Amino acid sequence: MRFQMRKDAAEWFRHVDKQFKLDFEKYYLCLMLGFASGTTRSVPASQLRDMTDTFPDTWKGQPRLLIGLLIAAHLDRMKIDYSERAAVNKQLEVLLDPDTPTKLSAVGIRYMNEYAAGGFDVLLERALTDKPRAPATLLRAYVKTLRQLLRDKDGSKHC
Amino acid sequence: MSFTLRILGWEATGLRCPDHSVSLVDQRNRQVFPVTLVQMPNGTGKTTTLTLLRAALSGTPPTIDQIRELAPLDGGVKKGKFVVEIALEDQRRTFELTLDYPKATAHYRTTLRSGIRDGHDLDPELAKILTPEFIRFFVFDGELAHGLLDPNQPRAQDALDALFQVSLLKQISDALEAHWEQRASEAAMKGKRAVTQRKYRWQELTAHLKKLNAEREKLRGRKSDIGRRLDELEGLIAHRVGADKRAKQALERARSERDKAIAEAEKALATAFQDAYSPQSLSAVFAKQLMQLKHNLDKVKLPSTTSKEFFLELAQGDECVCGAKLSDASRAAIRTRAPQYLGSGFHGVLNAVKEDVAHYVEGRLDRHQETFDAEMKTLESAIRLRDERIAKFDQVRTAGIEGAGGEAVENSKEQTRLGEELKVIEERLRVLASEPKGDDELDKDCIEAIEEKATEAEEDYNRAAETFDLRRRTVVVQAVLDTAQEDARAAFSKRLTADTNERLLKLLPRAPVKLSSVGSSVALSKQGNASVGQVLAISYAFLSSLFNHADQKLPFIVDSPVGSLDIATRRHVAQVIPRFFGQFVAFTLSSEREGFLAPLEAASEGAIQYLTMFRRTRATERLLQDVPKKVVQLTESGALVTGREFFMEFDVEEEERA
Repeated sequence: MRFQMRKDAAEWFRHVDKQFKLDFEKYYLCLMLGFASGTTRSVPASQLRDMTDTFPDTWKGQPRLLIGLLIAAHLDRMKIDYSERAAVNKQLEVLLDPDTPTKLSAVGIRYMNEYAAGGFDVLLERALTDKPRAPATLLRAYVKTLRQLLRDKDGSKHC
Repeated sequence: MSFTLRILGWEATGLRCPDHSVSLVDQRNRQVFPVTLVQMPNGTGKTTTLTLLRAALSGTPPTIDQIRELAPLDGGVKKGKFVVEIALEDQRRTFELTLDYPKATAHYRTTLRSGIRDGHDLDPELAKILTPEFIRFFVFDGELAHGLLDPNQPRAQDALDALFQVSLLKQISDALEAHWEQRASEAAMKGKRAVTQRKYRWQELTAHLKKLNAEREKLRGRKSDIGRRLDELEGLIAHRVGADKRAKQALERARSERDKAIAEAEKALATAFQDAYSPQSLSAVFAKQLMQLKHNLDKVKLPSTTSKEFFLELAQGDECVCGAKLSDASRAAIRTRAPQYLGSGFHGVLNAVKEDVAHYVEGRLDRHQETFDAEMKTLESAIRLRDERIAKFDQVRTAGIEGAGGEAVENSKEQTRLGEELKVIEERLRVLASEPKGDDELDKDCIEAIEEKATEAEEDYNRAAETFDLRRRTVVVQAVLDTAQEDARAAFSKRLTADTNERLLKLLPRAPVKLSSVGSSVALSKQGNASVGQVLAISYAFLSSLFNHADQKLPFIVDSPVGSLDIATRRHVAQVIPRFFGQFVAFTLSSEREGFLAPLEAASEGAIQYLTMFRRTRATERLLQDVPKKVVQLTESGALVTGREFFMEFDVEEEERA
């Protein structure tokens, strides 16, 4: 199973393409908005573009933190309390696979793709309706939207 | 491939005919008798025996009705068996046909040198001859004789095709057709129009691709030229502006500050983006979520120090790790609780996640966001400064140009124009070099997408062209095969006609009949219909001619060989039979002896086996008095007597009484 990005997302970033060395970087931005808003979207395969099947070596982020956020988001979505050990274990076994390069199962990657797909919807609706022409503009609007979403979800104030 | 097939004998039990066992082998020299006559009164089972011979040799079981008709009349018998032994060259084989009367089923078994096999096992060369249709030619069916002359029944051609393997040519033709059908259905296209359409599409896409590539090359060239010209213009402007020392210095200073500000902004941007790829930097809420995850996992001891596998293995043993004996109840409890522990493989993953959280996030959770926010502030400042410095530079430059006037202004205008053109070119190059989006409209100028489509179209065309070409070649080869088949039939037919006519001359010197040709049926020359006797003679002449020309030497088994022939014709038939057929087996009535037996004996030089079979009744018991026991085979239902003497004395009146 590969990480997959929406084809329209790839097109949307085109004016600021030079800022990104990896498609995974654009994917990450969408993914974080998905986690922040709790939004997922299942998209037909014809509208998705395959990317890598591993976390890119040259990506500057921390892949295991993304796995952690996926676990947290998924358990929260399933309304599973951590004290329910058997239920937690079951979901961990659904999301994870020690034998894959990403340590995520096919289902785990699929869920991650769905958060990224949902996050792109949020990016369009809340951050920038037009395609960004400057990376700094994108980053500014992105961070603002992300934090607003987290505030809305968390119910607490952040700067 | 040539071969000689002989029938060595057969055995019947539990059937409508009397139980009997017939050997066609002369025990003195272990050779098959060239002629065997089996004399059987009417109702003894000649038809039954011939039916069973055909069924056993061909492997085609009798129908349900036929099975019922083959059962003994008195009932009480549940199974009947018929076994025939053949020799193909020196390879012996036995076909056993067992009939289950209550179930109306038939079962075959084959005995070979290598052992017994279920079913009817045939070598490929035997399989072509021992077909239900062809067997009727040499286990002769009297009805077939009339069929040979019937133009509506292609019996003669069927015999010719089977024996001379002419049908192989048709099989090859059919196989070629099937091959083309399969290829065509795979490609889902037939016909030249489909090929032309695909060729046109491929050419269209190739032309479009060529056009796009040419455009890209041209644009790249133009971009390069513009770049050079812009540099040139910049140099000219700098030179012209530089004529004024103060303006030149101001411009250089503004440029330097601008370039520095641009670099600073790019650096700040890169730093901010790099940090953005850490969730804890994007927002402290993510940091908090990750820490909460770690805390929750630690609280419930996930992953535990032990794994699910440990507990499942423990449950299989007799003792716990503490040494206590495990009962069924405790084992069940262990298995029930095992899901509360993860498999050992997952431990590593979870521990790695927790380690990264501890390493990258733990501590004051806000600090990462604070650092990122500071970077964003730096970025904002750097961008403001960059924009200011760019504006400043433009301002200084414009002032310098205006101050220089004349050509400097023109150069500047040209720079602006070229700058606009460059933007358009860069946007167009971006479209040409973009990734395919899977949408025909969006991809119409995407070189990579058009390349993919052109490749697919070329393959599609090749498949169609190949199929079309394959069709043409198939039709040509089939025409050759058809011609070969017709030529072969014509050649065989001509030879057979001549040979059959020669034999007919010997068989019917007094009532000559001649064939004009052997095609789908045997055609008589000048004569409309043939008499019963003539039909039989034509059959013998044709079939013997056929068998003689074929590579395969076959036996000939016939019921009532001369019954419908007059005495003179019987004599002629008797004289030629040993020459016509390598093995001749005839089921005869006593009434056929006259005019047939003596000339047959003379022509066979005495190499004839005489067998007489009849049902055992109170009346027929009398017939066996004074007959040496060694020549009598007695079964519960019948008697089979070997020898000429008994054969000759078994007369019509006796048959009536039997």
